[in-house]
Amino acid sequence: MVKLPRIYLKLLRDVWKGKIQYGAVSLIIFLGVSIFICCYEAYLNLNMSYNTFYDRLNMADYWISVDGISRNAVKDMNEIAGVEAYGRIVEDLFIDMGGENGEKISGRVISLPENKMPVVNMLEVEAGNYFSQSSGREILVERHFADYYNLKPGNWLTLEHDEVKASYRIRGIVMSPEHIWVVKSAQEPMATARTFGVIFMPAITAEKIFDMEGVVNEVTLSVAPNMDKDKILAQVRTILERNYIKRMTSKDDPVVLQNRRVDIVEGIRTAYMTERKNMPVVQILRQDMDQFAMLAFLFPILFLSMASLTIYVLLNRLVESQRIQIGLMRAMGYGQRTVMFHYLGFDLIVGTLGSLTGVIAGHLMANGLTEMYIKQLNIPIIETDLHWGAILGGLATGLLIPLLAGFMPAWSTVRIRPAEAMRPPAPSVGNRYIMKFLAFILRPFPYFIKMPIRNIFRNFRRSLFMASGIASAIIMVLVAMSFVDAVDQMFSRQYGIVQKYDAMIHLQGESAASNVSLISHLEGITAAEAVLDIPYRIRFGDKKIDTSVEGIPEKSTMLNLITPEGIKIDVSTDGILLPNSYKDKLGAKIGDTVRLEPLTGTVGETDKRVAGYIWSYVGGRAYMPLREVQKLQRDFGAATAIMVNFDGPPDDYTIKRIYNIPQVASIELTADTRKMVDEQMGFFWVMIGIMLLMGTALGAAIIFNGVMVNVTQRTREMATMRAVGLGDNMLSFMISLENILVAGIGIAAGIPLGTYISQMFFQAMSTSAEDIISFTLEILPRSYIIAAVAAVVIMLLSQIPAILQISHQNLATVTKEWNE
Amino acid sequence: MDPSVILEKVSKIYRMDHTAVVALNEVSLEVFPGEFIVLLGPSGSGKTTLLNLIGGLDIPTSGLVEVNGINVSKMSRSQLTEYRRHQVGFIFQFFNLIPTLNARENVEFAAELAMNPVPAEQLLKEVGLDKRMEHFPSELSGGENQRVAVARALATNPPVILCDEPTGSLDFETGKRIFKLLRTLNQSNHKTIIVVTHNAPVGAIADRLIRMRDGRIIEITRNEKPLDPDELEW
Repeated sequence: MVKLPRIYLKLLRDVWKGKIQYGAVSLIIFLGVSIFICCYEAYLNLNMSYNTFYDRLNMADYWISVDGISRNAVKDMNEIAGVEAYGRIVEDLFIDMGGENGEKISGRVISLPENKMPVVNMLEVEAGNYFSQSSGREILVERHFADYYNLKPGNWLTLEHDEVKASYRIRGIVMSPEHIWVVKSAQEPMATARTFGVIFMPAITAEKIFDMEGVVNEVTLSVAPNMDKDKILAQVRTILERNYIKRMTSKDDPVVLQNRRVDIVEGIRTAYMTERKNMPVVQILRQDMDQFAMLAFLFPILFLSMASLTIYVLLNRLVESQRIQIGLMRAMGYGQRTVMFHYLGFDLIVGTLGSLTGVIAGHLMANGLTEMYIKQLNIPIIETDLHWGAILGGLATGLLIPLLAGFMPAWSTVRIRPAEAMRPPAPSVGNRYIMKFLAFILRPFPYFIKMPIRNIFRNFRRSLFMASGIASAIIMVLVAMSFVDAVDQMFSRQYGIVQKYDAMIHLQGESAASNVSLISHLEGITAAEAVLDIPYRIRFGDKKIDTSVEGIPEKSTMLNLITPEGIKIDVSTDGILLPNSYKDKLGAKIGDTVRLEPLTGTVGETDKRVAGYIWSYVGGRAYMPLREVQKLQRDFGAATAIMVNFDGPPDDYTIKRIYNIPQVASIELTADTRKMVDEQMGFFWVMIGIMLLMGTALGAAIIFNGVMVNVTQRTREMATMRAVGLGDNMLSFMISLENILVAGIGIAAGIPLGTYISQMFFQAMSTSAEDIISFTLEILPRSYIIAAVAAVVIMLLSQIPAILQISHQNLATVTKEWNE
Repeated sequence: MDPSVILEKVSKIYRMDHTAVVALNEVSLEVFPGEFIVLLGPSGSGKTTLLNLIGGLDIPTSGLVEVNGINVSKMSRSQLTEYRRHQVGFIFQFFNLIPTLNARENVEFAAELAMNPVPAEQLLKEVGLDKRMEHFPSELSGGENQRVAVARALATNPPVILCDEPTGSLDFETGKRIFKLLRTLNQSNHKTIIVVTHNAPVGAIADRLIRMRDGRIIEITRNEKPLDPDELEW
């Protein structure tokens, strides 16, 4: 049997002796590495899964919307080398959900080839089949919508367009790469399956319904990799021009209103191109992925910094306590480097253990997380892989950080002279002047108060280490709580303060606001207010945002707009109210004038003073008085929706009466929307739970180590105190008091730091989501209290092993020996 | 016979802030192979400093320290390490055993450094611990711990053994047994042994007794008939 060199055996035995302490450091490294691997691999896996799904179904690279273009033009685009094009009809209509209420919801129809899948944006048939040979009255239903209404192949669905209804048999339930997340538009990213459904129908049927024979209004293009995209787009432009579409605009290259007027006067037709990266569905998924990427770096940095600090303190303590052994080794002839590497060995073991287990657990968690996330989106492709870059990066970081952190303490062994090491070191008394000052001001206090306070300053570095442990726990808890608060606030503000209506009745097009009086007189309805929502581009200097401007009655009782500070603010002729998330994006201050350019039509351009900023959480809109918007639209009776309040829960009869009004397109019940959003939060709460758990583990590991070091460094001193008659309870009290005071320092530092890091998170999330979702950081006082109390509780629990160790000391032995 | 240890006008001055503390003041001494020397003196007399200089744990401020023909006083740190590895063995007052290694492993810990080590089992048998080899320091008595330390000091088979208050933390009877062991090793293995102590009666067992005070050797006494450690009384 190969005999392990005794210096290695000593290393292993020493580690085993301090297994809980070293285990705690390994745990911190494990957490840091596993979070990194988990989040980063999940990020890579999701990227792979999406891309594979996109590739498998040949998701389009470009969507070109036009008012109408012949199928021949699409054929021409298909002729371009490296391009696959499919022209389709995309139109909105109503889906009559039938039932006793005659409920209607918004629907989007997308046309497909009759007998085969389209070449671009193919579908995954989940149930049933693709269209049959005689596909005239067949449709395919997008999965989210089908799931919500429990639609199955063979069921019939009634579609309504231009007040003409027709029923279609559901041939299959499908999944589409464009609808992994169903987004109605950038302004309505949270559209629920209850109020919005996507229907696919044979092109021949769509042509008839929408009166577009031989014509399509959207071309989807897929470009082969490594092709010159600019060159291809130039060729597409040429084809569009040949078909009298003289201009192609995009988000990055918008047409200004002036040009649009010229276009209309001169009969110039315009196409609007959307790149894949600008599709709302891609942006929303990208936002989630960015969060994984952000978590992959931010938390591990926090964990590994704490691990390095812990290792630094632990190893310093170890070197200090093993001074004699170091002296002995040197006296026996062990070289300086051998001794130094012996102590670096502790870091190596701790790092290897933490990073190896972290990599394995992180990898498994990444696969689980990817699977969980992909399953929630119901994507049929889950691509997980062993990402060697991430694995090696995690391993290297988990090993290097402890080695770097432990280098200085290990290097200090080189400076220890064997002759000196044989003598006991002078006990640490701290800074003489501070200690004298403390002695002076603490004179009136009893010793059990004086000593814990003085101990903090006696080894201030150790106290700072403990405080930083508390601060880290506070940071983790606060970041997690900031999410809880943001969501809580978001819901309570949106549904408790802002949105005071029970339902939003969407009207067809710009209908007459006179419907308000009709609806308000219906039995069961207590109040109704008209809304006019018009898509606008808001400009300030060279900055712009595409959004919508909503006109609501002045002194509205249905929509309570509030400032970010929570103060109610009304729309007035004084100017426009903008969502708070636009403040940074536009850079306009209150009192500045912004330019409003309508995104549709040719009227409504104006300059408006920014009258204020309002709180908004999703799909931000600008607000003005209803009459002002109607005036801009030159239509004083226009309304796009009506907000209503019911007398108690809405009954079926009332709903049915509303649906019977011809201009009513759909009814969105606030309670239903809230329930749906609540259901979608499941994944979010799991993430919050994990963050809180990890914060607790981090705090506990650091505090446990801090207290253990604190106690073991003063073993003899504490034994002496016990020997002279200090009871276990009093000693526990003194240790607890010292730790609570240190916790106070940690809490004081952790709260501003935690708030700052939470801010970073929210900022990153807001920018990654661009105009889709804007999160606002709101940390409630309760969260600060929870974080502080949690830190103190973790600390009190973590000190129990150390206190037990003291009470079990053999007084005779400890007071006699000065080494451990 | 050539001396195995030669000290010529050896001084050691420690500087603390602006104060110089003279630990050894121009000490000269010769120790011959196989001699059993006891260095006696009160605390601060310089005896441990002298031992440390012979052992290569420290270097003199001035003067020459030569052990078995090797000039220790001008050695670099790495040369000193090499020197300690092969030329000297140490025995300390507090045994200084590695608490996480058992008796056998503690001896092997030193043996692994030597080119021709003495087997740990043999040494532990010699010190009477053949039945306690697998015990950890915490499971052994003080005397047993010190016997392990003696075995460890012999593990590299050094010609010189340096003992700093080897019985300082032992009771009288155990202390006597340790001295008996050292004397036996000295006589049977022909080891040069230098023992530092402030316990005056111990001087009676030495071949030569060297008294120190204030960093100087004040008296060297040769015992024509050294006392058997068993007959020691203090």
